[in-house]
Amino acid sequence: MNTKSTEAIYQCIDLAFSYQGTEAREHVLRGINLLVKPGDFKCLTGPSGSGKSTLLNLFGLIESPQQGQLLFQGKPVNGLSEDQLNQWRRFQIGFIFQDFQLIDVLSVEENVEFFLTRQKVPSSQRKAIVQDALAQVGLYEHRHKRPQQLSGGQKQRVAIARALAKRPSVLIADEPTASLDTQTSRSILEQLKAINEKSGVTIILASHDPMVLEYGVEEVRLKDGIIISQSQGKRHVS
Amino acid sequence: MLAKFAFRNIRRNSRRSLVAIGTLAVGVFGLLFLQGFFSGLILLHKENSIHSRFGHGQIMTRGYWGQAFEKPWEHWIENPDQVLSYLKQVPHVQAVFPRVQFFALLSNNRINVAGRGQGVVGSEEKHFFNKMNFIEGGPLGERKDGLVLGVGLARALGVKTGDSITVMGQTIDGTINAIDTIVTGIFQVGMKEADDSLFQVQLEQAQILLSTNRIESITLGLDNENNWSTVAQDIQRAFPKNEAISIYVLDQVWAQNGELFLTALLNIFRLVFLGMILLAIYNSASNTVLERKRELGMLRANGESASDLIVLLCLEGLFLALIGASCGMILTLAAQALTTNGIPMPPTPGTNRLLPVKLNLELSFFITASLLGLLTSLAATLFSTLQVLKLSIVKAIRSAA
Repeated sequence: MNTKSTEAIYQCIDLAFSYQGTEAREHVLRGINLLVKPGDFKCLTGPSGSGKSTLLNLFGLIESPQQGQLLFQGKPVNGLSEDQLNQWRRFQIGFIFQDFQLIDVLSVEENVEFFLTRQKVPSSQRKAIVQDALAQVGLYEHRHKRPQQLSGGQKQRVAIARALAKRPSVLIADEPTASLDTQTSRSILEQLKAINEKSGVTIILASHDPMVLEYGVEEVRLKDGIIISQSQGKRHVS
Repeated sequence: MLAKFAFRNIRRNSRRSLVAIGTLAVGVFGLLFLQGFFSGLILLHKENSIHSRFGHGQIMTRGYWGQAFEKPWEHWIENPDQVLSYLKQVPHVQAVFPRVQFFALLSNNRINVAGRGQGVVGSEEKHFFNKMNFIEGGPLGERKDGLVLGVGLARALGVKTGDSITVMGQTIDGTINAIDTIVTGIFQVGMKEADDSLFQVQLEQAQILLSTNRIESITLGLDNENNWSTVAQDIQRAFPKNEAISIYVLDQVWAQNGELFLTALLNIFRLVFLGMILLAIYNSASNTVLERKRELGMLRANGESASDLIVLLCLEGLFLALIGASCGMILTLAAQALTTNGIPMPPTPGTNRLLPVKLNLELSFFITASLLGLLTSLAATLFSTLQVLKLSIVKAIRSAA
């Protein structure tokens, strides 16, 4: 489902978002204007409360824009029905969470396969997709294990494979390295970079980890709900 | 995959699942056991009633049953031999017993006690009416001057087998008449009203006492109770002046009122058991939703709709219910196997005999109890998982593990 066209994956036009606080509305995002193109690898950075998670949730279509416009593949997200949003999330977006969010009662293989069955991919195709996704993250040999038998890094790689198997247009990763040690974090970031380069899938991640910027990602720096800078990170050399 | 996922989720919190399964098993067992027990009780009383008093039904002249007449014998069957010989060749009829019923005074030369007498063909009735439960002596049999009477009546008269009793009554033309009899047996059918007033003499003797050749009724014994309506229709076609009355009408106290009473009681117990299942499953499913908020949030983020999640959680509830209901059915079968000789019960209202009640389990009981258990579980799961509809994906994903 990768978008090969040059049409923007996301376009934010004066996007704003606020929460109702205990006393007044708290403006989390203000006047966000941002373009995400197919194949981009963007990292939202900034201190806590800068709005990076909220922007990531908006990109993941699990939060709805309140002001301004968010276009996903050229179509406005505002006012879409829950059914339409579910369809987009089911087919177009893959999620990678900080705490992996694997299903304990399913094997590695079944975790990766789960959303394919929900996409109603025929079983003959599912096997090949799962095999390919697990091979990409180097865990095919572990396919029969349960998540609790894996290390943190392996679990995150399964989460990447699960997101990848959906063949999404975009991968949304929220602090994917926050629960991992430095070495494992590097391996995960290398994996993501390789996926981005090889399959051209757009990746947007939110991270506190400055190491992320060593992987040639484009940094979108936020502070107090405003984008304060956008810059191309330096290329990591192993 | 959804079904596999749902099934495996049962093992996620095995203690909670076991409690839910146990509650369901006990609930279904309770529903089945009670229905089987009540059904056994009704069956026992019906069998008792059929084989001690009424047969499967009786033939009388039309309009006679339930009416009070100044001269009842004027409404008795006029052509008994013709009716009897016809009845003997009706399919499914295995035995015919002509009877007359009358009121008389029983005297032991010291005291007189009023009783309700039946004139019966003793030699033929002894095989069919085998539930009269003789506590002393035995049935009338061939003995021409024999008399059998209920335990209450015998106690009132202070008689035992071998004692003489004079039965005094009125002939149909109003003359006082009497016959001398010997007590051959004392019975306890278990129904107080019958044991306190009923006695039997030979039909011929009763006809002498009443000075008539007519008979009041013909009791029928069938090969199977279910054939009653066929037999009744056949007889009524052949003898339009007569009517066939089933045991359900003749023995209203047990066949109708008793059954209605027990059914009402069963329904109350059903409410209790189903309420228990509802609360247990609701609690289990609510905790499941609460504990798995993050997972449910992750699934929703990946495109699962709220209704998809409700289906998933209901499937889990369904699996629990299926396992629980199966355990409940196995428990009931085990209880039935352990109580093959019946469960000894004190006398029920209107009776005076201990009765060993056997569980009477029918396929329909299993289907009803299982369906009630399954539907209640599903309803409880559905109610508790409706909170998924209010789940904010972002809040769910960020909720504490």
